[in-house]
Amino acid sequence: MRLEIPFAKYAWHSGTIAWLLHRVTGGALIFYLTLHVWITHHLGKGPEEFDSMMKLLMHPAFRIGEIALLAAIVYHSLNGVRVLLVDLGIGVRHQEQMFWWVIALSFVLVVLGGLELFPFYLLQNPIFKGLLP
Amino acid sequence: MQKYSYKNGGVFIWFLQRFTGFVLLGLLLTHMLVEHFTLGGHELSYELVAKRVATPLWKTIDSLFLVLGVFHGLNGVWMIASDYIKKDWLKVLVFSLLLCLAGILLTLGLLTVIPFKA
Repeated sequence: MRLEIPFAKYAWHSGTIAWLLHRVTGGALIFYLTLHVWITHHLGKGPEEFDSMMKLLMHPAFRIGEIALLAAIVYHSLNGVRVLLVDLGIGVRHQEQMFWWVIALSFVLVVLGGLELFPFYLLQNPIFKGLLP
Repeated sequence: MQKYSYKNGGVFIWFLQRFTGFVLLGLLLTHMLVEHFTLGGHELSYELVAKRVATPLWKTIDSLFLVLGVFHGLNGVWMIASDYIKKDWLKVLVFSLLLCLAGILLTLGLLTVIPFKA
């Protein structure tokens, strides 16, 4: 099998980074979708099974994963909109600026989302609670 | 980057990837607003989720979300795979595996949503 490594094949510019990040976040989201479908199927098993699954998701590993999920979704969505606009011929000349807007906006949204999510984890999670004075 | 001359599936699949992406963004925002901002907040329980999933409208929306998500996601993986894999037998193998995964996700997901009674 011959693998063509993107690093060798393409010149590095903002478009390369955008494209690579889009693929990496897309791959992560497919992994999440599989997990999400598997977890949600416990809904059919009744309240006890489902709620014990929800309790498992309170574990810090999943909570931190949730912020990573937010980052992947926000970037993939915003860059997806950029790709769609460029494919439609809108703002082609500004696609590089649009990429930096995508990065800046993603950063802001993930920080805001993180600030909303993280204090809750600290207060509600028994494992985190144990770490507080 | 073969953005415009997409050799695996042609321009229709290319268009469908963009179209499903756009619809998925709308569905995702709806899902997040209803599930996490209106209904459950940070903590979801069976009671909260079951009430919503049991209605025909949400069964339709969730099923659509699942079908489009599985298509968009696995077609994306296939786009990546077919960029790097040159051997025909390996392409067939990877494509078959992705079809199997699509089948599993759709079966498991739709069997959860469609017959569900609260």
